[in-house]
Amino acid sequence: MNSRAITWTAATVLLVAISAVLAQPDNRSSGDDVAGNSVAPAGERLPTDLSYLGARSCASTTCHGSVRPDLKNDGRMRRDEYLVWLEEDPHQGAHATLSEPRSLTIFENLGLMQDGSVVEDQSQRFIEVKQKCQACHSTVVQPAGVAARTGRRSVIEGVTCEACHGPAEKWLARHYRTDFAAYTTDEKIALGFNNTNSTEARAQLCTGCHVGSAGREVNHDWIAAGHPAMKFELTSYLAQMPRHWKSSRDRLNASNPESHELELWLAGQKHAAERSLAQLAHRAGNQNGVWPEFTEADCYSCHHDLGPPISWRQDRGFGSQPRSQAIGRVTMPVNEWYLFMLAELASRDGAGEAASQFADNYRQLRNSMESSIVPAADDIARLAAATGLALRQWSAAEDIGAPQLLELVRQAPEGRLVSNWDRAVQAYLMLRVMEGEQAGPEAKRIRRLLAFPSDRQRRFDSPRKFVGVLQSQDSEVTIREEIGEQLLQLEQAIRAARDN
Amino acid sequence: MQSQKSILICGLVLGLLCAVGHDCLAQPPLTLKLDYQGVDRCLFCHQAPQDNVREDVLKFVTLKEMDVWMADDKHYRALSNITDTDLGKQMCRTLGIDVNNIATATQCVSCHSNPHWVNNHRTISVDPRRPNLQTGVTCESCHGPSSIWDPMHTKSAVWRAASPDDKQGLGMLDVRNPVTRARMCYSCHIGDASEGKVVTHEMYAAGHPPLPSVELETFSHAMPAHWRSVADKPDFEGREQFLEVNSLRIGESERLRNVILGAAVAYQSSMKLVADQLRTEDGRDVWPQLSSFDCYACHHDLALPGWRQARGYPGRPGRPQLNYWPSTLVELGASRLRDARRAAIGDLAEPLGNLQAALDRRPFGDPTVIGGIAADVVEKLEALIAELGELQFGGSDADQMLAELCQLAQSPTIDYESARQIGWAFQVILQDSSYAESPTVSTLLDGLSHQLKLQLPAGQAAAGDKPRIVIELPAALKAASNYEPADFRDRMLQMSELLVK
Repeated sequence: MNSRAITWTAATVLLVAISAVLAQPDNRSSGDDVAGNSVAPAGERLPTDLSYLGARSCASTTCHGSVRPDLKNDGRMRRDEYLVWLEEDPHQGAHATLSEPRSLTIFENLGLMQDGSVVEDQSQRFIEVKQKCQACHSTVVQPAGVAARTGRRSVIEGVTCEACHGPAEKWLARHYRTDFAAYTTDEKIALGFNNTNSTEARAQLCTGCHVGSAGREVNHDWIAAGHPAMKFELTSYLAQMPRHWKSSRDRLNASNPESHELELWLAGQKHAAERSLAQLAHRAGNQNGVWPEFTEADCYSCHHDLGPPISWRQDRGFGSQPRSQAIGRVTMPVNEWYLFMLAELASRDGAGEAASQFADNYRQLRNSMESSIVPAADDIARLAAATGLALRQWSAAEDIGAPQLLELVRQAPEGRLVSNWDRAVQAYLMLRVMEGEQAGPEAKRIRRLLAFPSDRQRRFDSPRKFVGVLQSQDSEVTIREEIGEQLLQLEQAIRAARDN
Repeated sequence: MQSQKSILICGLVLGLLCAVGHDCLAQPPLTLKLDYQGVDRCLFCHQAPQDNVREDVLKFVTLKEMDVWMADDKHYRALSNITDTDLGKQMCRTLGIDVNNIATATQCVSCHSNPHWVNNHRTISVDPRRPNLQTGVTCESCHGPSSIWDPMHTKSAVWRAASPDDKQGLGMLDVRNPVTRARMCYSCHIGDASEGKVVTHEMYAAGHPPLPSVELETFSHAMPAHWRSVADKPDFEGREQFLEVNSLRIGESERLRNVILGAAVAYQSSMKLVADQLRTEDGRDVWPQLSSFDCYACHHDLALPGWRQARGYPGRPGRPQLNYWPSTLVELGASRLRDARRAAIGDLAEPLGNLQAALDRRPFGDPTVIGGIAADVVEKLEALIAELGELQFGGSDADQMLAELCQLAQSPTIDYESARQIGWAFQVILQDSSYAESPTVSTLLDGLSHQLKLQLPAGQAAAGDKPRIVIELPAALKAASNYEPADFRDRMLQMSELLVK
């Protein structure tokens, strides 16, 4: 048996395992077993039969609802966590979002609502669909036949404390006791108390909704109906989230406090990639699912206006795909958002064997995805699972740090990191993490160039001007070339700062 | 039956040979093999100036047909549009086609030239004194291979009395019959997989201009016509017999007939294109043939608010649908049939609904299901076309049809090309209606024509310039992307109010 055969066997075993994990919540979301059941965002390891008590159970002024936060930089809690969440954290409004006009438009586009009311013969489907929304937009799923306001409070409270920290039924009365600190992580998890301390655990937690996991999926049907497309990157999302914990805790929990942000970036990349590969394996392997699933392709491979006079996409070229490939069938370049940086990292000169294995698997997956508009689902399911496994093996085998990442930027052939918007944004976010607190002029300039164009009438969601000539002076330099240049300068600045 | 027909044809050939007499000695040796001779043969007669032409001949043909074709008809430049333009060369590069050896690129020349001629002769004239003479869409591309009928068709008395079926047996296509003509035109303008005429999405992606929707009468006149209708030829020799053998009914509206039958054939051709591709395993591998789908289902910028959402679309969000326009006008014909006749054909809306359901069920649908529905539609339309062929159009038909077009326009799912179908049909039918002289209708129609670019670009560009299609492309794309369905519906609502008055 050669090594490839071994990989395949392993992949098949893994696929079975993934299917098993994925199958369970599917039953749940189909409405068979919905009443009172919780969907724990941390997901996989928590007990599933515990009750959620609601955010107010945390809100006592002597616990997490104090109006006088303790901001001393000493690792203890702030005491105003509930209020930070309630007043500033977008997760708090996650469920309310479902009642906003833009969400009602989604229900209308899906044929479930009209003029703000549920279409008469669609009420059952509406409940099922709304439960799918609540899998991410709420902490628990609203039981069928129970109104959101009269039902369990946590439904309308959005993504609450317990969504991340775990259902409090068994730990609420223990976790403030002094002996709780002595519990092991596993003991806490057995009580439903999630580990949110390690970067790995956080990355896994966030990506469960923000990338997708069993029973939580934003596919092209949703996006076509009006849901925003999913483009998650852990460090930038965390930077947007108001912290209800002390930053000092982040460093305390990192294996190396100096490179805490970089660790977070890497964990975000790996977990997002793993989640997205598992999701792809599930999408391709699910006989009753939607296939081809268009979110697996680059949005702009199809979505561009046709002229006039020449569409921006023609003007730009076909990004990652060389023009000569159009000789065969036109296919859709894959959505690179979650895997590009890791694949580059794994393919760099000097990468180890496990990295090469992952790079090789991903290349095969990618080629298969781009071989046809409707790629062979069985092959894709297999390859996606194999790539996920290889990623985990690489992850366990090799430590990645700043030197490797800087080298990646330096080694990249000209134009490679900026050949499409997704790549440029990911490369920028990676360097930005290494740059530290203060953004230098390069980072500011890149950020401005990457911003979507906008005008007063319309909010463009296409990076249409990503490739154009710079507006300034008489230069012939394109925006893309300029971003590439600035990325290199940023890399040099970081290197210089590290050397000092 | 078949042999009887062969005997008949042989008899006709022999008879004509005798009739041709010594004229035929001046021509190359006649062969009984159907073959394409190229346009050189036609140039002898159908190009001005002509000396010593009997006056009677000019009562039937203008003998300037080739002048029109070479000076104004875009078909003439069909091949040079590929070989002599930047766009054509760029497309060839992208698609891996050797532009200097275009004759071997069957996927191009099947429509951009006379494929059979190219096939039989394998060379293309590069004589600089007569550029492209042999190369574009030529006389024989439409009129059929002329090796047999060429020497015969000049003997007017015998030839005019021959039936279209007999002529067709000798290779000459009956272009006076709207169904035959539409099938011939649409084999390229919509596509025919069985003849290798398919504009693939790869070609579009490489830069091929989008195929617009077609309306038989409008497009025929925009070529421009190098012929006169029989009604405009009142006194040629043997006219009565000619009318009879060609089943031409003077007094009835030829235009209405062309619109109605052309629309039914357009729908059938588009469904046949789908069905043909899905008939075989290989074909199913080609599915989804994206060029059969609505371009704008996918091709729209992602913007909020976006025109696509505002415009609306049938079917489930995120599931591309097939091109809408081909079925737009089919009801206009079907509603002319008496109830019983109509019922015999079966429900035409049902397969459309099934098609949408199949495409909603999974992206691009199950090829087997789609192919089955498409084949079913082709069959139903065959029956419809036969029934419509029996109808006579005239009297109040035109007024009635204009009112029906106004109603069709109110459907919420009329896209740009469907709206053009309605617009073109309206323009044509109006001429036979009691509103033909109405200045208010005419003013409203002008606005519609502007919105939908109903006026087709006329003529070729000057030699050496960009081809017309390339010049017009930006404006064409702009009109399509600026299309406002609500505005169109509003105009047609105003129109219907005018018609009531």
